[in-house]
Amino acid sequence: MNIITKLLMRRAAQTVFILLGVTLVTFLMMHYAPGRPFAANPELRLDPTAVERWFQLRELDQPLPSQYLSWLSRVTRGDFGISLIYNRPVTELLIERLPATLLLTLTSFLLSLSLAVVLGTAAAVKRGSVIDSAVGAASLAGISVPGFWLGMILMMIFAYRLPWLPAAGMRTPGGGTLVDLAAHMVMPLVVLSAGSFAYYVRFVRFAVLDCLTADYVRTARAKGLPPAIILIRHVLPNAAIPIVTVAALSLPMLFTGALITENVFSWPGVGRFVIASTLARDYPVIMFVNFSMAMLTALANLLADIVYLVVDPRVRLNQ
Amino acid sequence: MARRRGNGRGTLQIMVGIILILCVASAALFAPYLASHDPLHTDAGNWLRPPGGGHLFGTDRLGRDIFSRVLYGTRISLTVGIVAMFLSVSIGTTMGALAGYYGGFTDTVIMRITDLVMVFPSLFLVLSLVAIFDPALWLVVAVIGFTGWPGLARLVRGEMLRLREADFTASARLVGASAPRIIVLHLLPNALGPLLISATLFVPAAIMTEAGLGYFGLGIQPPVPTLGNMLRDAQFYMRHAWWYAAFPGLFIFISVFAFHLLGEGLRSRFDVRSARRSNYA
Amino acid sequence: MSYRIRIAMVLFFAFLLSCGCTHKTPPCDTLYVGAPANPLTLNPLFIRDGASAELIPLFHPLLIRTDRLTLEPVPAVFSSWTLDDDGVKYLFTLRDDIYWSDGVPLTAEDVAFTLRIISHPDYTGWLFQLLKEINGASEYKEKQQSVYADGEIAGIRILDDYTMEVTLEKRFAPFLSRMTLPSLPAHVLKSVPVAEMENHSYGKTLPVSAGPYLFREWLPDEYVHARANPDYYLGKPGIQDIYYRIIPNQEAQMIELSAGRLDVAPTSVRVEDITYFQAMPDIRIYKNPRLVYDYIGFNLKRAQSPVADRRVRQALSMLLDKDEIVDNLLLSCAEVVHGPLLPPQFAYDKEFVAYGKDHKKAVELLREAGYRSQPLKLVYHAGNVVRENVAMLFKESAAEIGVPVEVVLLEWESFLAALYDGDYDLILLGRGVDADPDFSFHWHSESLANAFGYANQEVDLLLDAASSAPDRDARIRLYREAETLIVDDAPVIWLYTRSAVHAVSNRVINFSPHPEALFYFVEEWGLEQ
Repeated sequence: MNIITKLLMRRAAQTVFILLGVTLVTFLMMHYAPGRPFAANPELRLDPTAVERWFQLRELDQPLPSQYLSWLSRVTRGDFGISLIYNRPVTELLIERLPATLLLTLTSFLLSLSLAVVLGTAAAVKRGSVIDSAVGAASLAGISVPGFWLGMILMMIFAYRLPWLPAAGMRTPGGGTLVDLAAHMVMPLVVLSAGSFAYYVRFVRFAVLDCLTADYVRTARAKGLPPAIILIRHVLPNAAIPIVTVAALSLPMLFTGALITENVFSWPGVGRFVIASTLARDYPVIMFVNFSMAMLTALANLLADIVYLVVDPRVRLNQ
Repeated sequence: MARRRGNGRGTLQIMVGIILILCVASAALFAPYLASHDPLHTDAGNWLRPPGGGHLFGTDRLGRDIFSRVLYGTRISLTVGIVAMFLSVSIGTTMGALAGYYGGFTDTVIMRITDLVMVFPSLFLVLSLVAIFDPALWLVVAVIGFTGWPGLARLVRGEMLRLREADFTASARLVGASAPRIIVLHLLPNALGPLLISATLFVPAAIMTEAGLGYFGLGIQPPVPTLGNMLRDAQFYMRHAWWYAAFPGLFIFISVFAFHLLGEGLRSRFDVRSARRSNYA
Repeated sequence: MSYRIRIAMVLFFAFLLSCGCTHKTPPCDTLYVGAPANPLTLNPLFIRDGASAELIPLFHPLLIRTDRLTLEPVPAVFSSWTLDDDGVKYLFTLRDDIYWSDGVPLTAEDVAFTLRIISHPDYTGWLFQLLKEINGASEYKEKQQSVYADGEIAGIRILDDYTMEVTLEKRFAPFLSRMTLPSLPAHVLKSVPVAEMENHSYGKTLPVSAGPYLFREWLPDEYVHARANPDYYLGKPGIQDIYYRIIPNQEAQMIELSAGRLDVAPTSVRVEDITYFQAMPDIRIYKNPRLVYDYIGFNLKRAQSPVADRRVRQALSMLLDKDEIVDNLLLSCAEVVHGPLLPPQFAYDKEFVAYGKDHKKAVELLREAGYRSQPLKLVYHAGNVVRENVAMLFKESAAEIGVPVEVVLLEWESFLAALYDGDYDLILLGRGVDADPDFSFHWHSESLANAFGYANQEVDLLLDAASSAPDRDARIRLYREAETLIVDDAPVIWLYTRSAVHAVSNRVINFSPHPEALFYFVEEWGLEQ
């Protein structure tokens, strides 16, 4: 395990540099993009002197290097600044919206992964059967359909033509029963899970197929163990490692999926907030989101590296 | 159980995939000849007309011909997908090959760059660049191409690490072959299978990314028709005009589906179980 | 398939079916109103977006209101007022039966405190423009040392709890219509430095207010919940609960409305939806004029641009058939505008017409101006179908008389950047105006909001004279005169003023939208039992 500790230490140091790079690049691009964070809507009326004062109070009139450095020094103290649009701490704004996103993404994660494990295993065991072809087709379709298009179609059918499901939001205002929440979740879940199910199921199928042809399975079969036992005791535990790796790696992808789903179904989560903040040039929010997404991706990659190292010693990590 | 073996494996998928790609590609390529209207021409009296009557796929909210717009949009989608793929494959392969073959310091440097690009939130890169420069096709292509290569680089590096210790590499080195020669003539051809699959699967991912950007209004800007920004407009007219969203979405679906089918077929053919996904997969 | 899986599937479908009964009748004392965006703040002095502006009259009592039809000032918190003979000293009497939600009475000190915040050097909202005519307000803004809104503004004198005197620097007729401000509770906020007020939690939780509705809950990106104020000074409002549901996806809003999960889709119902909703038995369409208009602005600050020449601007003003735009693109939910005055304003002259479609005359003017087919750049933004159509129509009509127009469609923030950088020859957008016809704000050469740099000394003189004119007839005459001069200079192409179009469930009674805001008279609304 020593090599893993070394890897971890080295990777932690590298991650810090990577994060520095990401934040610096983001910061520069953001500031050179046209548009200022003040929602100076010409259709409302505004007072240029007040705008100037507003910029002063938020230190946005300082030179860029000093703005970046002060941002950095505040971050080391865990302070990500105050949203320029909402005038409230960025972390607070995101934490408010995180539960809605987690509810959606984690439910979708569990749903699509368990469905993928069941159907993927079935497809692998009955290789070449109708089930296999059906799973293959469903997986291809799921990966090929744009999430927002699927969402629009579902909304048309199940919210409009057959007004069964609500078209927007997370709950009926004031009436937050569990059934109500579930009804609001159905369509976003389907959209979010279609892509990830398609992605997982092929991995599950490959992983299980891989194990089915392994020597220990052949041995077990030779011993006369019943197929169900072989599957549960030998195949699935071994197939689990790559599946879990892939699933862990896909977590950032789930958040990207949530961007689309939340916007289509007016879901009150982080994704909708991120897009709106980006379009409104809310600098501190953009910085925080990029920072944490980079962190999340870096962690997922590190995790994958560790698992690879454990599973396949051939992959040498630079000396 | 009677699945075809050997050479036949994946052939059907490859064939169907290629046929579909050819269909979509020729629609895109010959868009100027196939289009019945100028895709930008607005007609205030002809809003949201259903399919038929001179407009094969109907008209949109500004009275523009959806069929013509879909053809031009497909053209852009495929251009983005394929050009970004070539860009990404060339960068990824070069980086991966160098890192994997030389190892050591080169490897460290290249892999750290790879990591940086891999964790970079490309959504914001696209947004900022689109905002700084005039939003244009080349920009979206460049952004997708330049951010999508880390997966490929890691893949190629892995193959290199595996192959550089192989006997044929050692013998090539013994007879005095130069490093580029070994990489290009001996190592890469051996990694061709996974590379080809990754490249094929990169195209639909790039198409999806472009469409997603367009949906958020961050991609190639209107009035240039792209499938993504058409869907963005269409989402507000679903009740009145199903055709508005149906056709652009269908064309995205078909294009993406075709490349995935081809990729799947290639995978069966080369019997590669899994290639690590690229940033966009 | 195993037995368990079968049971699971049966349960799943049973669940799906049980969702099939969401088309229910909503509770009879609760109203659901759709919102296009999350409001940013509930503090009425720091409004920077439409959704927050919409909520002001819901939570805050206005000092003065304006009549729904005539836009004349009508009593609200100020129950009456008098103006001395010089026209500079207002004596305001407050109602003595208004209480903040914590039981403290609303007094003249609250009003004075609010006016001091707005005049404070650290104030970052835009309202000071409305108060700068108050004697001593500008001085306060320059000299105030304390970080709090304390001290005194020379022109504001509190006579007793319910009477106050406001003195202006000079006679300023539009002043009353500018006092349509809300008041903040001094006893809650006076220890908050003005620089921190925008970030203060008051704007998020609104612990103390005195409007027709009291704040209950704000779930970000979901809804704002308001409950009727039982002690509201005009009596308890007719509807108990109002949910302001944030649904940015407009199509989803319409679907929710037709499914009965939303009662009001306010203000911006698209024209193609009007006939659709008119056909639905339980939904009614309401229209009312608004104080906004759309226009194509010329870049007057760019000397080398062809549009620096007045004749070119006049020629370009003759390209479009505005009646056709109103009839075809807006299905008559709008009126053609010919100058800066709008129909709801008292100085509006409905006989005034300028620049009909006349391509022959336009060609002549262009030749006179020596225009040699230099290309023009028209910048507009995505998301407003009518404006997008107008831009295309403009490009096409310009092409007919040999003027090449390059249309540039930008995402909103980039559009604003282009506007402020002056990177355009023509720009298509909209603007809002006051209930009072005084248009100095946009057209006086010294106004801070004169974004296009329009300057005409004669117009300045007329506007100054009009705002200090003693009687209304004189003002009407002066504004109309100024309008004629401005329109002759053709600094913008006036297009149309769009009506607000609301789709409202039949169960809402006494729905009374106001040109300034949806909830202006919300206390009058009711729900059919």
